[in-house]
Amino acid sequence: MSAHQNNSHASNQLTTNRDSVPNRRVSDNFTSSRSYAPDYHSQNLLVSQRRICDQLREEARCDRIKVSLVCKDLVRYVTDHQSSDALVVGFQSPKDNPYRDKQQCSLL
Amino acid sequence: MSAIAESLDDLVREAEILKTRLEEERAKFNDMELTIVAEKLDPLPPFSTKSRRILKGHQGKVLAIDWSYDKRHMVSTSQDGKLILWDAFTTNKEHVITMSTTWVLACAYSPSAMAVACGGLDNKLTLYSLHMDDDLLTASGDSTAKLWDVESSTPIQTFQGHQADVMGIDVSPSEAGNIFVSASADHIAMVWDIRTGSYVQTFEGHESDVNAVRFYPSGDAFVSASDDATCRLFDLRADRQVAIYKKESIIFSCNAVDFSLSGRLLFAGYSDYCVNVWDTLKGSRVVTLYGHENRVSSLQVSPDGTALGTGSWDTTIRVWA
Repeated sequence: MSAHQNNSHASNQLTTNRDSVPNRRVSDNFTSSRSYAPDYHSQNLLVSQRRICDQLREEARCDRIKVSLVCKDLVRYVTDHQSSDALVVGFQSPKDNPYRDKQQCSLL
Repeated sequence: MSAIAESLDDLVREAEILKTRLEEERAKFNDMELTIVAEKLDPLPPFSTKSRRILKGHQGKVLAIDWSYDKRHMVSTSQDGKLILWDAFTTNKEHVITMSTTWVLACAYSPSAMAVACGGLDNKLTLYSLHMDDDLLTASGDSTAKLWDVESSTPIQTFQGHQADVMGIDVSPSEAGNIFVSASADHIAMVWDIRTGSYVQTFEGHESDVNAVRFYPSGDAFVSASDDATCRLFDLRADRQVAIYKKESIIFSCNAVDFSLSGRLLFAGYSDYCVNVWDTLKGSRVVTLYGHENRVSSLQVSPDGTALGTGSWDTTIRVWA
């Protein structure tokens, strides 16, 4: 009985600690039907917040390319490879399909 | 104590500013839509792929499938606790292995096709092999991904950054396999550098759990599947989402995705028992594949691009070609 009380007390404290730092990151406000992950981040909020900032700074520094250009590359990859894409253009001969249905005799 | 709180607040504030700046920066590069760039592209030829094989043998929900690199064999795991190695041509079961748990959530062939790996709710990663010298990358409900040295059965690298279960991973077909992408229940997809062990990019947008990710064949982009009933295409170089695949009529979660060989077609398996086929570039739905009688849980195009394998909670696996 007392052990149970201790447990619930501890978990309450953990929740309070987390709540005291709202919006650590926008993405924190997710809800998931299945998250059993241990909360590494509550172990040391300052360290983890510093890590998040470092990471964001790093991401802010990354070189970007215009969407119009990357899209052209995505389209070019398809046009270069589509002619050999069996699920797009099919097989040259039905015989090339390893999963083709076996020839069936039909009675008229 | 107050000094710490203060500097923590500073850091929180800085993170918010950086976030806003990141969004602004990404928006600057968003000068056109993929569907407009792809407008002049020829329309797709009629879709002729149909269900060719039904692999029956599991007695529970099929939870995962993977094609062998020999383009013919397939491994599957199921809630019945069995791992089955199939010959997809003949539909014969070549091996049936009973696992120690009934929830075997994932399975994969080694590149050499000499071994299969699987893992499940018993927190064990099991290998069945004739010969094995590859490293192995796994995603886990402990919010991490791990790279394993198979010979010593020890983790080489732990990839920490997600804040909820990691649902799926995919290794880049380019960059010498040094980059991988992860899908997580924290609604985020992350791109990681295997060499440094840290993530290099984060991709937000999904409104619910991200269940699966797959690289575009060129390695420049990846697609994600989510419980929000959408799939999204994120480009690594533009550092943002460049396309979304959704319809008002599609309301069930998407569990699995893969591209055809050229990337033109995007196959997505949903909880409404359907597989939707999308034109990756034009963003429109090409066709819906009906056949499964329960949730489509896993899906993969064979390595040579000739066939699509789909696994379902209806206990069967279908091969479409």
